[in-house]
Amino acid sequence: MEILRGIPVSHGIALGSALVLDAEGFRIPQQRVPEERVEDEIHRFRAALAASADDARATQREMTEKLGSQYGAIFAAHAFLLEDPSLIGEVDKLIRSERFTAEYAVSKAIQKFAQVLQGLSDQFFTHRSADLFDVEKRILFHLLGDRHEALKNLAEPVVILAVDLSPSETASLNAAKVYAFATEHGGRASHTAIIANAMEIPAVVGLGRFLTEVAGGDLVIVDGTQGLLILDPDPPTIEKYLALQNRQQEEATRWADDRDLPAETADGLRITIFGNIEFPSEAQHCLDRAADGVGLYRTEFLYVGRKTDPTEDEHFEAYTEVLRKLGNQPVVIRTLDVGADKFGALPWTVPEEKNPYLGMRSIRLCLRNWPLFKTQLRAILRASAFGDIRVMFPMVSTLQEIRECKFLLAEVKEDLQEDGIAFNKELPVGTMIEVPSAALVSDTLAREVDFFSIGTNDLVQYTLAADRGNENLANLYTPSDPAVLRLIKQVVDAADKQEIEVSVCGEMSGDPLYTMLLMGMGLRQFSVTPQNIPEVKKIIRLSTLTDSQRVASEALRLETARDVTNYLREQNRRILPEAVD
Amino acid sequence: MGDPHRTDAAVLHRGTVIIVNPNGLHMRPAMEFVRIAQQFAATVTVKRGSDAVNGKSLIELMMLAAEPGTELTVEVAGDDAGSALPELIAVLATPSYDD
Amino acid sequence: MRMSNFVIRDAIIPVLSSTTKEDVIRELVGSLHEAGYFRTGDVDDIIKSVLRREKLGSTGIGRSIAIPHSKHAGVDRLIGTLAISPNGIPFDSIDGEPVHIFVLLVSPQDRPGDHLRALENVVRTMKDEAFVKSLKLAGSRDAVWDLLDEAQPPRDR
Repeated sequence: MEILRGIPVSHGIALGSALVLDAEGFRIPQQRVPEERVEDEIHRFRAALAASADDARATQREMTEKLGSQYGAIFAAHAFLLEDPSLIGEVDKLIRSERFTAEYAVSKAIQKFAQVLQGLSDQFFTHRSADLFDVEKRILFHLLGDRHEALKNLAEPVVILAVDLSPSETASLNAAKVYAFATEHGGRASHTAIIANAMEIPAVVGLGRFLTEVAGGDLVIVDGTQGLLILDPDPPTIEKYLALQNRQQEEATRWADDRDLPAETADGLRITIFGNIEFPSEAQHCLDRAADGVGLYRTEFLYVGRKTDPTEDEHFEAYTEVLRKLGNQPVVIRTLDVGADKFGALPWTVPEEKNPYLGMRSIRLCLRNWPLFKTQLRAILRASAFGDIRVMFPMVSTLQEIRECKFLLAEVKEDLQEDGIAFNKELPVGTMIEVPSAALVSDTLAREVDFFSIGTNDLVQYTLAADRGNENLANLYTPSDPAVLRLIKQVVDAADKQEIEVSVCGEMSGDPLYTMLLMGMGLRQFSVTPQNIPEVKKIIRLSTLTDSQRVASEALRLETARDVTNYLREQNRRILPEAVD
Repeated sequence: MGDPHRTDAAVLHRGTVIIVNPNGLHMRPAMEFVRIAQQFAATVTVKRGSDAVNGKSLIELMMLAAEPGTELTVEVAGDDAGSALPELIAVLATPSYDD
Repeated sequence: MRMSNFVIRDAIIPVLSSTTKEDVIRELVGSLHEAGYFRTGDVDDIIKSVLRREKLGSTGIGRSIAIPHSKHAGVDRLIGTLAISPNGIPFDSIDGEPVHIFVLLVSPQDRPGDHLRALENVVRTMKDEAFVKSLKLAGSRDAVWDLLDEAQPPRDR
């Protein structure tokens, strides 16, 4: 049994069969076959082997012709490996004695040999394990052939293990068939974290290299609360986690009962709790948790993992779907917030950026591509005729950007007016405050928008100059930092002075550790991942405004992030003694 | 001349060799060794100390991880063992496989 | 696309006489008409159209610049003019400041892409502080035209 420690990004427990996605997305579908299929598997294996060996020899000839025999030699070696009696013997044995599928047997056999090679001290031989994995890929390619099913055709629910998960890989996932995620890379705000939260399943990221230790079909445990991945768990561990899982399901039921209690402090202050969504289907999660609406609809998911950009109608359909689900509740749509690399068709070629997070992304990209921006704005305005839609702009760093956005919005309104298409003339327009410059001039910005939303994920990142996805900086990147707290206070004060609404979104808003602090600083609207709504509500109901203001006041005096975190923990323990961090 | 029906089956042909190639028993000589070994019906075993591997398996040869200066013993048993051994020893003894 | 591609030289007004929003727009549209554009019967309609657009949100985008515009069937290609007010005219600008430089754009009905590109072009060209300053000091039609003609077009895509 091996217990690996990573970053917990979506809480909960899952036990299940592993599905391993390597860099090319291969997967081992199934572990065993019934007795009568064993001979078939042996034949499948031999056929795949022969095809792979032919491939390798063909490549060898090609490479030798083009580049000379020393390059061809690598593929000659592969051909040898593909006809290696030890490999063949090992796989045959596994298929016959364990009734493994050909894929699983190949995977296990290669794993065994690779581990020996990787254990050798001579660099040359450890690198040969890469040749083995190459050979494995080739064989699997022939075995899986056009049975290389998309992830959406999973037969059994699985725990997905991968180096990292990309939007295109998760785009077609069937949520009912995935128990949890665990990845080698990634941080708190990685794509994996977002998707896991959207699907409300446990996830652990930033585990470091572990994929070679596990094969598809192995039983694994993902503890998304503690941030653990357990390989090959022993029976006592399995029992312990099954019990934990039961307890969590009981708690979830209890929270469902509390669902309809209002988010009101003990001294009567009503707090608005919105939900964050990435896909229209998550509107249901917001309803399930009795949210007051959608405070952040991250629309970039309409763009990622596609070859062409979404049409105006596709935008419109998505937005009205959310409205239909939510009835009268507000839906705040954030315009496109990604970098150029996510786009299907741009009118210019995108040069490699050295610092994509400081680059041509998000609102900057939109302001340089008015047709792209107009398409989304048009859809938002059209949808505004059907419900309480509000629009908000991401990554705003200057007043000029807001003005340009509003100018363009007016253009779109003019077009719609001419076309006789209905829209809300008083569409509320807001801005994210997530770039420090915007926070610092928030007094000016507050005069030109109808509301703010404080994007804590990026605000923390830009203020502390720490990449939120970087596992090495996990200690530096924290919302508890005094600099961040002061900026938030400044923004809230600016909003109050102009009497505009201000909400907080990002992880900080969903973390019960910060709830009293944020309320005490003056925030009355939280936009939270639906999964976290019950916990935040619980803290609100157990606290008072007076107390929260005291907490905020004290926290703002503290000098280090660690002091702040400890202080907040202590304050939370006073009202919620059984809270486990 | 011997009896054409007489086999060397019962007789083990053995030879030792020291790896002098500065890269050790790396890919090219290993591949060459396996290529030759596979041409013969005889069984081929390569020993390093107490480790014994199948000489017709590239994977197993790689796992031997024989650096320069390693002493290897090649054992060949079977009909054509006699002709196999010298060729196999020659491959391992080759000082260099540069192009 | 550069501003000198669509601004009509003969319609440039180096010194505006108007002092109110409606008058300015009237003067701008009138100038294009005198330069030979629009049917007389369309002039009022175009003025109304431009003012309607202003109601949706002032085209005074700040830093003493305004870009009143409209689409109209009365033109078959994008045309515009540029005018300068030395004293500035109140225009409900976004920054509350009076406007000194006006760029009027009138597009055909059916070419939204060109219209948008031209607008974008003007916005980006006017980001150049030095250019704007020179315009304010230009004083004559020829001087304004020379500035427009020399202006570096914003980086084309």
